[in-house]
Amino acid sequence: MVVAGVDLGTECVKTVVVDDAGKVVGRATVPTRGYFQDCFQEATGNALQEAQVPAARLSAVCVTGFAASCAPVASQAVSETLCHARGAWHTVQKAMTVVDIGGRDPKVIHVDARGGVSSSRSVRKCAVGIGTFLMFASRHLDVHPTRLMDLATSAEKPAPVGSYCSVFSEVEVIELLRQGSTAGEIALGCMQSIADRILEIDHFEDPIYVTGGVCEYFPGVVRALADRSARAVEILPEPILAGAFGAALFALDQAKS
Amino acid sequence: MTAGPCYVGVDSGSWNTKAALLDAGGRLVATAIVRTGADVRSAAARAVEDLLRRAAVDRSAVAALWTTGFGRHAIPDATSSRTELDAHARGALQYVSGPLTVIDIGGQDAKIIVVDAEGRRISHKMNRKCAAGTGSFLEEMALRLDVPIGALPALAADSREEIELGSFCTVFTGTEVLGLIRQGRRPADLARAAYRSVVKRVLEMERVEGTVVATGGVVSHHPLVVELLEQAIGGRVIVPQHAQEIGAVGVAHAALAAAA
Amino acid sequence: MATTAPPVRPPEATFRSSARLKELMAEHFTGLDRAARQRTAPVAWCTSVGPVELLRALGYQVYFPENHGALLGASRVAGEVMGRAHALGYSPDICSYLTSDIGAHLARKTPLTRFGLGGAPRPDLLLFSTNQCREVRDWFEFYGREWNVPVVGVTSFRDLGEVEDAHVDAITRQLEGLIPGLEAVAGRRLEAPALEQAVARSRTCSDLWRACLTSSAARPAPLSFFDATIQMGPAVVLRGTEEACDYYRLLDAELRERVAAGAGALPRERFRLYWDGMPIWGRLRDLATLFAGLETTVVASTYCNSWVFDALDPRDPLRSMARASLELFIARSEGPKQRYLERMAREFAVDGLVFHDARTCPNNSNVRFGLAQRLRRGSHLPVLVLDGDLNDLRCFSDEQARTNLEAFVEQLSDAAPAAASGGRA
Repeated sequence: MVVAGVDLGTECVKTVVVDDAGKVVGRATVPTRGYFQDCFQEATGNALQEAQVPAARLSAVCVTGFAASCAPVASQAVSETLCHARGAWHTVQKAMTVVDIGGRDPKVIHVDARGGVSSSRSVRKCAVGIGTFLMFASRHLDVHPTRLMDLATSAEKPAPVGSYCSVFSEVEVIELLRQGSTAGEIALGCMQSIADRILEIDHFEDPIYVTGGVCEYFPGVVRALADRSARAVEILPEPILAGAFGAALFALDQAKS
Repeated sequence: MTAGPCYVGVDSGSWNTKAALLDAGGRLVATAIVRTGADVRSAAARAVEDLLRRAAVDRSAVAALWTTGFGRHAIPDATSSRTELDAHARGALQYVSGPLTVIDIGGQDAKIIVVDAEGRRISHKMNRKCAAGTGSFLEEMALRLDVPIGALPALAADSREEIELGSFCTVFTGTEVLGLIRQGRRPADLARAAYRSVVKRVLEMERVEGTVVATGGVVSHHPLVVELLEQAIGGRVIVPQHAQEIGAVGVAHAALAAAA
Repeated sequence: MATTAPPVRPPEATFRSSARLKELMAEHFTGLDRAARQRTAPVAWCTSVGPVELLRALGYQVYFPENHGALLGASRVAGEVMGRAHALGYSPDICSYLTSDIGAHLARKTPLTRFGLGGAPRPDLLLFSTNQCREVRDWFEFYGREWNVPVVGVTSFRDLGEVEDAHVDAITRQLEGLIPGLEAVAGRRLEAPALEQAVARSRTCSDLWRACLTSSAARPAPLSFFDATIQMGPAVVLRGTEEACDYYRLLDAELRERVAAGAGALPRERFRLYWDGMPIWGRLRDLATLFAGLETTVVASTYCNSWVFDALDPRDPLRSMARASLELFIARSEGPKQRYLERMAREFAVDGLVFHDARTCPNNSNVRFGLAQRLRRGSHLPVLVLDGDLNDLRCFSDEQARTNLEAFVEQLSDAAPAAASGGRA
């Protein structure tokens, strides 16, 4: 038996295919572009191809994420909070704080010792605390987003980036460049700014696990989270797939029942 | 060929650097626009070089070079500078006499400037620390609608249905647009909604009275903004020639006036 | 040739009295710390325009968290610690004094280390008045829970048009009602002569501080807003003590000398402005430098005048305290606010008004109901609105503030052709 979980996010659409033991046999990530239906087909098609399974053999499909309602085929939909908690719990198996940092809606989720969600809080409507801000920043530093992390690694100290609005932060970026900050210092400053906004969401209890696309592409944010909170912060393996993986586990429950 | 001393104005904006050259009689001889990029100084140098070439004027003929805009203090060759508020008001007054209201919509900010009958600036308002109502907002919307910014006007022209965008923040309006796409709304209608949102945010800044003049890069490239402004205020909106370079023109006039 | 970038050097107001000011503030903090640790006197926390005279008369040492909030802003520690309070559920939209102070408490950070203190002195009681805003109560209640100590106070009127006897009666009754609780914690009875003396000292301090501020009606103005925000320390934290009165006698004499000598706060005073709203603590120095570069003196402010209490009268202590707390600008409606600003503009002969719209301080941001526009249209006073905040610099754009202020001064230059000189080379 195989099932799929699909996470339709604002920056990427992710599909994970698992077998009846909950082992991942196929995975795919595609950037969100145009209509979500098309992204869904592309990601799911790629994951099935990796799993060497035809679509017809999927026993269940669970969807989650911003555009879960756009999925053309799904046997159920589950919230991102539950999917990220489930995905993390499967790996960690103890009470923890899950920090999900995606494109637009970071969350701090407290998971109890039995894997249940005891509380979940999302960021306020502030764009500087979200992954998309790093996309803005890379556009203004004139580098591809994947280069941003290399740049940040090259910097010794962060440049102070500190606005509420990401677009105004762009002006700050130009101003900092003019004052002689390096692109690396600014990249690091941007990551630190995201970490600061995330620490403002809720209190953290150890252990802390980070999921979501941001830490996959920008591990500097996780390092900043650890530095700013003075606590150990772990990255869940394949963090960008955590939500889709959790969804696949829900699909498996459904297929087995 | 232009004889006698010339006056150059440079408007160093967050996206584009604009330059304008006046002859000793205050006649506009040439303008130039270059991308600002990360280096404000080199952009200004490129703009001036381009300007002098277009005007066929030798650098030695430049009697004064005044700057305005976001990077006004960073340009080493400048004789003096004025703020964008002053430069846009002066620029607009070259085309229209007061009392007037200047609406300037730039890449990162929007301004409303009130000028009295004698041509004196009596008040101004800049947008809050927020990009709604600016050119960046339109860029973000184009990105979300998956079209180049240059294609946004054509897309909006195809709109059939009115949609109201409710978010204040650019990035969250981006999410709202994605949500509306998810619901199957047409990109053309969303493009028009983005323009309406810009106009609404700008007009919330200050009461608009007297002759209304719109300046800045956004109105030059997105005429729908002007049309929607006219609908909203129920009157004519004048877009002067060289609306995008009007700050450079204005500050060149300030340089000329100071020399007189 | 030079561009018009303002000079790098900030204006340093070198007052002879400054040495005494530093000493006095240091004594204030070390005295509080001693009282809290060695239990030599009861310690109370009080809101900055609260009924402090009751506390003085009962022998309390008094600490003012708003003063700490300002120190956190000025030292820019605020930005590092506010997030701690947000994570606890105190929204980024509420008073950033509150969020930075609670955040600093949680992070165990304080600029008071410069006075040798490890943190704020632990209170035996907290006393608020909501005449300035509701936040002060929520702020104090946090500490009340934290340390399990009583939080008492006055729930005051706000947005008052005229201050009527009925209002004064109601607040007087509340003040009377506070006395037994304050006595119980202090372990002594309130003596009438002690209260009269505290009110008399507060009134003297108020009169002297007003005289200092009024010195800037002179042209050039000897005391700028930026200097005054430092000089007002004793008027805030030592109101009701003789030391505060002595200090302002010293400062007043020095300011009189300066006026007589024609010495201004700036070497050249082209324009005179009024500041309404909170200071932007983390940018005080930068703004002072910017104004100096524009040869513009901020000669008066609503903020520094908030510690002027004309109604205080030792012959009728409680009722006059009640009246003084209600007559404050911040507790009034738009009508009295507008008349006050018009009077100040005339008295100080200002060229324009700058309103600071502080994102997290609605109660002391006075442009949100059209007041600035009414002043501009009705009284023909040039006005400028600056967006910012007292402590949360995320709400402030340096670039935008600079352009706004430079443009305002250009506008004033154009309106006064004699003062304009084309480019400021």
